[in-house]
Amino acid sequence: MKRDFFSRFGGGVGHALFPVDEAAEWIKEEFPREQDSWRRFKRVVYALYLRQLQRQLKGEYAGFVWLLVEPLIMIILFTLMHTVIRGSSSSSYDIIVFMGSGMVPFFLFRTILTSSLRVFKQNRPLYHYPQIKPFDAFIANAFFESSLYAVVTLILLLLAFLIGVDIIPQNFDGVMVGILWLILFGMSWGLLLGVLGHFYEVIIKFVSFLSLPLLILSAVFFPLDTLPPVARKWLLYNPLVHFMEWIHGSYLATLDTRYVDFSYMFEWTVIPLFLGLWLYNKSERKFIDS
Amino acid sequence: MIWLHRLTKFYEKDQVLFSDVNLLIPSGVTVGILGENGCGKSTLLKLIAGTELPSSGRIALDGSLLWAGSVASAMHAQMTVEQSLRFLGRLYIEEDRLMEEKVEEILRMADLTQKRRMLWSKVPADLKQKLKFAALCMIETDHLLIDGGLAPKNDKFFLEKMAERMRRSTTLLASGNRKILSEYCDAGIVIHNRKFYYFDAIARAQKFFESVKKHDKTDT
Repeated sequence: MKRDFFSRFGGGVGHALFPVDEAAEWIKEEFPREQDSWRRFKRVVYALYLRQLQRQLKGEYAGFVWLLVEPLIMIILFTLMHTVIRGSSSSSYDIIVFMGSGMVPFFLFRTILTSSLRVFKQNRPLYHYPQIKPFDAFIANAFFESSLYAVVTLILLLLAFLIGVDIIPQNFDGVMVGILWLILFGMSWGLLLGVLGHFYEVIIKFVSFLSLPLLILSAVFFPLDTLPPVARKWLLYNPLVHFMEWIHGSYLATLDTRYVDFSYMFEWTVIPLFLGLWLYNKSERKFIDS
Repeated sequence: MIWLHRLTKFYEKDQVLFSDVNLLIPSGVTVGILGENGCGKSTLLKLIAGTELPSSGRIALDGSLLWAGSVASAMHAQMTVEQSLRFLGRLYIEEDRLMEEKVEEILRMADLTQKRRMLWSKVPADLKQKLKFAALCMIETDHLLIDGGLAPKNDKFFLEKMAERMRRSTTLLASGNRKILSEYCDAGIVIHNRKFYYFDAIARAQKFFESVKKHDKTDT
């Protein structure tokens, strides 16, 4: 290619000794485009994932313990509250399983969302490498948090099994679909708000403030069926409620998923996803160069 | 091969580094970059490395690239030397086994084999410097961008390795050291008055740069 170029445009390399624009057209066609971009993406995400894992295992060991303890405390707390308020005999489903299958997915969602808000800024030094894009860091982070919660889930299930709770989900595939979809849902909002939050700091503060109200308003620790119809109607505008109802209903045989609206969940996943991708695409260079 | 097309870079409107420059650097040469302080020598490298973006214009290259300034950003203060190096290796080498071998070679060259489990923040500065150059020598890429020196304290062994390494790739070298430039470079670019002047021989580039400097001095 080098020889071709010079035989075509003469030997004058440097400041505009050759017909610049004509040569540019020629090079544009001859230059390999993004080289194997899928392979680059996989390699970079894998490297970033392992990097984050090593950092977690080394420096922030307490962080992982908290990851495990937080849902555990919440599960115990809400189970106790439930038994005190309603009496243990009044409900037909297993309270601990109900709380666990609500809390863990909810915290998974919250972690993916909030960690995505910081991920673009956190990895700034790594954009010195032309092969690392901010988006790769975002994907690696979401994978990382998801896999941490997979470990947390297994430990909690084991604990529950040891104290004699029936942990087998009634509809395993349904639960898995629900959780994977919830991860995607968290990622689309994480991407959109992460990109916006890079320019408007207030968004990041607002989202962290929102996490407690969301816990209360997302049907995490109560089934929707127990609410009066008016409250139910309003809560169903919250897309997270649909996810929680779906996971609860799939996990426990005594509950059902009659309030779940798939098309509503789909809209709330796909619209922010595409909006986020579009905004990211427009502002990628601002993450790298500032 | 590195190709710059209609490249313009400015920070503020009145601080233009280059305007509308074109440049084609053929594969396999080692190019020295000459210019007054603050004329944009290292900015040019950053632009090619992709960590800074051009105000307008286009940059393209056909293959992988390693920029000397990026090595340190792969090293995380709270990770061990070995872990950080593995991360760096994974960015360039797909196969895990080859990557491990490469990491081993870098550690050996930088005399860090015994201290591989040391946290990066605890590594003394001179060893950090050694590691940077060892990584530059060992990680093979099609393009190599270096600003500043070629070896820690002009160590003979490192200089030899680096010369070999530069022969295997397209190298851009921004250095203020005349001797280094004339010893290691084939060609030269002079940045002057927001334009690039490319010379096939480094000696001619240096001569041009000297005459330009003299000219500027008599002007003022």
